[in-house]
Amino acid sequence: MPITVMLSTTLRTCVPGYNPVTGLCLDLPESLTVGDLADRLGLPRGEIKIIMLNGRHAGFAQIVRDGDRIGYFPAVGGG
Amino acid sequence: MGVLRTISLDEIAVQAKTSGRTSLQVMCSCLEQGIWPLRFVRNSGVFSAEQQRRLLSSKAAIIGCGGLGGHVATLLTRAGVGSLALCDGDAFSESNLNRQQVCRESNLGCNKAEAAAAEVAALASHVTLRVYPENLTAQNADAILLGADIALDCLDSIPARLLLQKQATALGLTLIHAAIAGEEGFFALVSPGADTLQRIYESGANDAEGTNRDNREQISLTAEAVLGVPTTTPAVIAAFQATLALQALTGKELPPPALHHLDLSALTLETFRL
Repeated sequence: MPITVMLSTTLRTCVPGYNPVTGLCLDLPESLTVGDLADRLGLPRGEIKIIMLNGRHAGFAQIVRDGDRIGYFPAVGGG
Repeated sequence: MGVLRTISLDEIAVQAKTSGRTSLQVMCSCLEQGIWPLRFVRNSGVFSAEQQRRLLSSKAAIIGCGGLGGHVATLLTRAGVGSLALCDGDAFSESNLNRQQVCRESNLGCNKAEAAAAEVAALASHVTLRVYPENLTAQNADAILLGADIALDCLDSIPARLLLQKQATALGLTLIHAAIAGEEGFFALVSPGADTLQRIYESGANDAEGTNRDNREQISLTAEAVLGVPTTTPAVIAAFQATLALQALTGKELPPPALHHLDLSALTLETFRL
């Protein structure tokens, strides 16, 4: 089940070698939640402020499906 | 497009003097007759004369005059916004020199709102300025936002942004939000009364499982504190922010509510529906 994961700012440091152009192209063996996926990637849930699933605001409980594009964002407040 | 009738700065000054009007009033009167002040004539492909006049009659409140706000203030001024309220309680320091448009070696230590006002005055003497060398608070917000047609969130902390949205909502103001960290930035148009910033900052991923509201302090080290902000990020995001403000002020059709995310490291712009 191929999916794409995009990471923002500090969350990128959680995945060594992360490429911001391609994101992470993963092939999941089974269905899992957005939160479970974050855990598997080593993304601290406490640092994830916004989740976008296929361009829409989402939460940890939502199920990741075939072909999904998931973005994880931390709190960004700089100006 | 035919040849536009134009009027120069010197001619505007003469007309103002002889008629007892301000230069801003003269420019508005000229635009009503389809005569473009030369300083705005290159805007004529994007704005009609009536839209340009509307900008001159508009007032924007720029809350925060650092990385985003300094660029926004100069962009809106060059575009023709005729009145600005500038609010910032902070002073320039050396580490601001890499990215803050109004920060110079000569004004280190100076208040950012006052420095932005000086920059705007040098760019466009017709602009009406109200300067607030103080941070936005629940107590001063009404006075700072009073009479504004739009507010620009150029702040650098999440609690201050939420306070601004609350005050803008109370006044029925459109708010243009932006935030930056590293080579990434976000921006969004917040319609009057919308809870966009709560959705971004207060009801994010953690609340989906009903956890972590009490742990917010633990994640208070926001991305910009870790990654800093390089030179180009505020300039690009501020340009988007100013563009949205100009579209709103000139009555152009606005995009549907969304959060936009720009990543300069990947040269991508994504739009998310909230």
